[in-house]
Amino acid sequence: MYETSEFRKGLRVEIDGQPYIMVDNQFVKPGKGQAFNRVRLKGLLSGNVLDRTYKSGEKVDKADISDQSMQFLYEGEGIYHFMDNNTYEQVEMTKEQIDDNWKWLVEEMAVDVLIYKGQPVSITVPNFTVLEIVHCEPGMKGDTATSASKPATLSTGAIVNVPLFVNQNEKIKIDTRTGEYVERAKE
Amino acid sequence: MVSWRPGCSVDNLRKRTELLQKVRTFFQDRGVLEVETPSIARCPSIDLHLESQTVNPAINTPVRYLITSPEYHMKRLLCAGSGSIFQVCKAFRQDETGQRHNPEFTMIEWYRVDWDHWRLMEEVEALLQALLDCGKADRFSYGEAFQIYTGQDPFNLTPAAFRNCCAVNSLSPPTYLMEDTVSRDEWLNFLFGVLIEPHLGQHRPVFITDYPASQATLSRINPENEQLSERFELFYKGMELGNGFHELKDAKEQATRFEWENRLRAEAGKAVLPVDEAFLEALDYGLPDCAGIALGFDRIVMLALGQTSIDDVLTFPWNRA
Repeated sequence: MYETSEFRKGLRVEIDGQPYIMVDNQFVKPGKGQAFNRVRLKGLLSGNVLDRTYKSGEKVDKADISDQSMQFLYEGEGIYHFMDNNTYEQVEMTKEQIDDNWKWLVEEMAVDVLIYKGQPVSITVPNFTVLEIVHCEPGMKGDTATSASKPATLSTGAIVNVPLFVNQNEKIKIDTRTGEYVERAKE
Repeated sequence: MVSWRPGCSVDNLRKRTELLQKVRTFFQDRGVLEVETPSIARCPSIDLHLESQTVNPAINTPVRYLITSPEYHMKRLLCAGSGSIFQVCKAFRQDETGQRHNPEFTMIEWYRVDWDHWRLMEEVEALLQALLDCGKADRFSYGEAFQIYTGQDPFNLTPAAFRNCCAVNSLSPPTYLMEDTVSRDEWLNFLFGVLIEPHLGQHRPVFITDYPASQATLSRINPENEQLSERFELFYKGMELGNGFHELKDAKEQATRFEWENRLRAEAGKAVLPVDEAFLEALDYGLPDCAGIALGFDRIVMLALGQTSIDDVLTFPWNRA
C-alpha cells in the first residue's frame, strides 16, 4: 500500500482492479481544514484518465506491475516477439500494445516491457535512437539556417520531419518521446 | 543516496537573504520589536487538522512538540507587556509535503497591540508591496468568495447543494466527505481548496475576510454577527500566504475552544492533546487588544523569484535535508 505522503508522479497503483500510473499529484491544505491529495491517474491498460481525491493518510494498493529489460526479436503477422536475455523467456505482444513504438523498433533493440500480473502490457523504448532514412527529397546545400523541414521515411517505415539539408541514406538521431529529429548521427 | 547539493541555486539563496533583510528593515522602521521564542514546546497547538512533530529531549521525560507556529509563546510575551512584536522562525508540521509545503518552513509572525485586523491588513499589504512589487490588495468576504466562484452560500450549504456543486464542477467528492458525521466546514474547506483558492489573487493580492465563526480558531467572533469570525487569510497568485486574527482575549472562551477541538480529534480517532495551561493563564492575566498574522516566508520568496516549487527556494528541502 502507498500512503498519501508517498504519492508522486510515476507511482503505479491499483484501483478497482485496474493498474494506473499517477501523472499528477497535488497536496492541498485549505486554511484550517483537512489536507488532501488531488491526483490524476492514467489507466495503464485502458489509457483512461481518472481524477481522485484522497484524504491525507489514506492508502491505495500497489499495482502488481514491473518493468523487465528485454530484447526485440522480430515482428511477424502483427505479433511482436521479445526475449529476456537472462532467462531466454519470450513474450509476444500485439501492435495495439506496442502502440506508436513500432516506429522505432529494430531487431536486437533493448526495451523495457511492462508486466502486469504476469502479462506483458506495453513497452518503453530508449529515449534516443538512430535510424536510416530510406527515402526523402534531395537535400538543399547551404540551407542550414531556415527552420523549414521535409518528410523523410525511415527504415522502419516511420515518417519524420527533417531539415532540408538532410539526405537519403543518412542516419539520423531521433527523440522517441516526441518523435522529433534531433541531429545527423555521428558515424 | 541523497544529493549533497542544495535545492536552491546560489543566486536564489542570495535573493532570499535580501528579502529576509527587507522584512527586518520593514519592522525596525516601524518600531516593532524582534523576538525569539522556543521551537520546542511543552504543549502542542490544538487543532483538528494540525499535527505537531514530537521530540524527546531526554530519556524518561514527557515528549515535547516542535511548534506549528510561535503563537502561544508570542501571546505570552504580549501578556507580559512586550508591546508589538515580530518574529521570523521555523515552524514544523507533520505530513505536509508538496509543491508548496515542506514539513519545516519559515514563518513571519507578528502582533500589533491596539490594532484590529482591518488595520493589520493595511500593514500586511505594505509589507507585500515592499517585498513583491505588487499592486494594492482586494478584499472579499468568505461569503462573497463562495458566491463568486461556486454560486453557493457557505453559511447555508445543504448536503444536496454540496453534491450538486461537486457535480456541476465535475468533482467526484472524496469518500471522507460522504460520511454522515462530516461537518459542513469540511465541505467548505474542500470546495475552498479546489474551486476558490486556485483563482484567488491572480493579478493582485486578495484578503478573504469574515470566515465562518465555526472556523474562528484563535480569533474573536464578530460582535455584530455571531456567524462571523474576525479571521482573514491572504492569497496571491492562487496560493495562501497567511492567516490573521483579531486575537481572542477571553481565556474561558479559549479553553472551551481547545476542549471542542480535542473532542473533534477524539471523534476522528486522533490523539487528544495536552492543553497549554501557561498560555491560558497568560490570557487570564490579560492579553492586550491586538491583531496578529503568520505569513509563509518561503512562499513569498517563491513569488518574488518566480519559482513554482518550494524546493527551489529552500537550501535543503525535505528530501535532501
